[in-house]
Amino acid sequence: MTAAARPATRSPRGRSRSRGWLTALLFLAPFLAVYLVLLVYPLFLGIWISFRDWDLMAGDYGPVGLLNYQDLWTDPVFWRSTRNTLYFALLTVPSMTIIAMLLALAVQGPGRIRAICRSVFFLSSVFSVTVVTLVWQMVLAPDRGLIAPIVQFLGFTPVNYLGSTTWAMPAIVVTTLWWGVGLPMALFLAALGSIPKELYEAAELDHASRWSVFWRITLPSIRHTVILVIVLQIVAQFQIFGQPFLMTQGGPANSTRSLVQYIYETSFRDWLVGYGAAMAMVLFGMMLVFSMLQLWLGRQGDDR
Amino acid sequence: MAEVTLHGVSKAYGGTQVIHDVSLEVAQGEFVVFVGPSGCGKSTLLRMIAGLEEVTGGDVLIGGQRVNDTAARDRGVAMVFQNYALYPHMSVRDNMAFGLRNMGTARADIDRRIAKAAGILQLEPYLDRKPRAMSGGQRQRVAIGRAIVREPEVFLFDEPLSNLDAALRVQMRTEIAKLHHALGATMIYVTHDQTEAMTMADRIVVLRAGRIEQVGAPLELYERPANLFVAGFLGSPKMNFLRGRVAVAQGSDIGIDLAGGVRLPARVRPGSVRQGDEVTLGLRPENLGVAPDGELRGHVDVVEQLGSVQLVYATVPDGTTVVAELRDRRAPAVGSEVPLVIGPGIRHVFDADGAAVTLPEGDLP
Repeated sequence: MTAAARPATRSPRGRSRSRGWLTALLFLAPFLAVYLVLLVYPLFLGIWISFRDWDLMAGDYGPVGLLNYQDLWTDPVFWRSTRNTLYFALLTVPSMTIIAMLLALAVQGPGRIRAICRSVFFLSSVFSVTVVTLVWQMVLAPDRGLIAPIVQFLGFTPVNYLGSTTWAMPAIVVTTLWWGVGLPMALFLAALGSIPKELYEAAELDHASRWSVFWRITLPSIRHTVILVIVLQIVAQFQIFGQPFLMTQGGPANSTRSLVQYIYETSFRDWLVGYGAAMAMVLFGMMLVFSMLQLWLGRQGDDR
Repeated sequence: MAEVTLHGVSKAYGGTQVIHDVSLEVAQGEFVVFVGPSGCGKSTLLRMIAGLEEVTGGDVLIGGQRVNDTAARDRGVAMVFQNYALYPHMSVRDNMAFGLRNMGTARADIDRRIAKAAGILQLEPYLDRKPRAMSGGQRQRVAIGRAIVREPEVFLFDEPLSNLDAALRVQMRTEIAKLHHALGATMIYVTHDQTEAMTMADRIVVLRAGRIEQVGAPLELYERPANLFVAGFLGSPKMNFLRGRVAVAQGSDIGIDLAGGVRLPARVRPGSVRQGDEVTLGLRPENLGVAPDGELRGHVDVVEQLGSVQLVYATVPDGTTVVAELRDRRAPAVGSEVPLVIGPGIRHVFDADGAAVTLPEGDLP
């Protein structure tokens, strides 16, 4: 080891260090190029545009300071979309996390049936949003849907879920859960699989109940995955767009119009890119705050 | 404290039989070591006693009760795992208290038992630490502490020292032996390390391929191995084996012809081998020396200096390498031809099937 290290220490310290940097940079270059061009540049471009009056067709009318952000303050549709987005995230993120964890707990371990279930539950993630929304529109249809006969059997009148201001959002949430549960479930499965089985054997010898095993061993062991899943879900669900756009077009009465849909409509239907960019910045800020909050909460108690 | 009895215990995974008809009695307060090479089924057997593996044949009894269908938690056993299996998110104190709390033990009683165990294992300064902030030896102590506080009928150890370095292993070995004396509890200990088995056990159970090869006190097994496997497995360096043929057999006295025209006398159970039979002669390294009047010629390949003794590895005429343990400091030169002398110790004789036919008594010095 010392023999191998000697040539490096013999060369001038500064030179070897700069050479190291150069090598590192060379290896990083492909990623850095993509990262800078496709992520960093658009982000700062977006911030810059949000301070300008930029019409997609007519072009840039120059800087307007905080005017776009002031307009947001008095825009009822913006507030409605923000509230819808938060409501959607509030319904989806916790339930997605819990359902994914329960599914993972149910289908983990050996056995052919469990293996089949793992594949089946993951399978829905493969479909595109158009397929998923089409399927669920059919499922939820009040006349020939899958749910209507069940509701009728129970003695109720089938509801047009997607046409109801109360039920449209929950229906979209259910669609999203069905579509997206695969990935968090897979993450939980990986985490559960990495818990040493001796811990469970020791707990068995320690008279631990199933409940106590879950709370004292399983959950603490997969804590970091729980945090990861929640952060990923926050980031994903705040950007909700495809499902309401295809299933309800934001209706009825704006009850499912999401922030991303409103940004899309403002920027690419009404061509007000500057105003859209300002909204995008607000969304970005919200996601950042919630993710950071979650990460920070997750780190509490880590170092003790 | 309780005795453990195995009656014709067997275990099969699907169609593969891994434990074959094992019967064994472990007395109250006894320290029994299961030893054998990896894959011999020793851990499986221990886990069957613990209740962590299903018993597919025969009966397991703890304290006279058949426990085949009793859940692991209700068998009154405590187990120390190879990788410690400490609950990583709990402090040392909570690790030890977890089982007691689950059983509804009174708080004062829990505190008393933890204080006692911590005292025995010198864990007092670490009670509020998490396992990851501790060294391997300390973690192993916690794992043992977790077993002690349960005050179990039977302690089960599954290769508890194999993750520790050599020095710590020796230290913990002594501590576990001391612990056994202090608690007087029934302990079953699994290891692949014959030194651990020899040093710690009241009785050793040698296992191979899911079968018991021999059961006995350490010295008994060392001096009277029942077959080639046990003879080769116990003792370090291992026993030297020389192939030969019975030249003369008169009662218990036989003469064995080895390669190179050497005839060696040995004593066997009368009638166990006949003239012309293939036999294996087993000689412990300490029963082999270098002296001018040596019967065997050996070509010295390697000399290992261990301080108190030196090990001479030499090739004998039939091509096998033998080890001689010499107490004097005059080592033969590597590459030289030396005469090897057989000491007064036991000359083990094994028949063509590998079973020992050595005369049970008489040959002992």
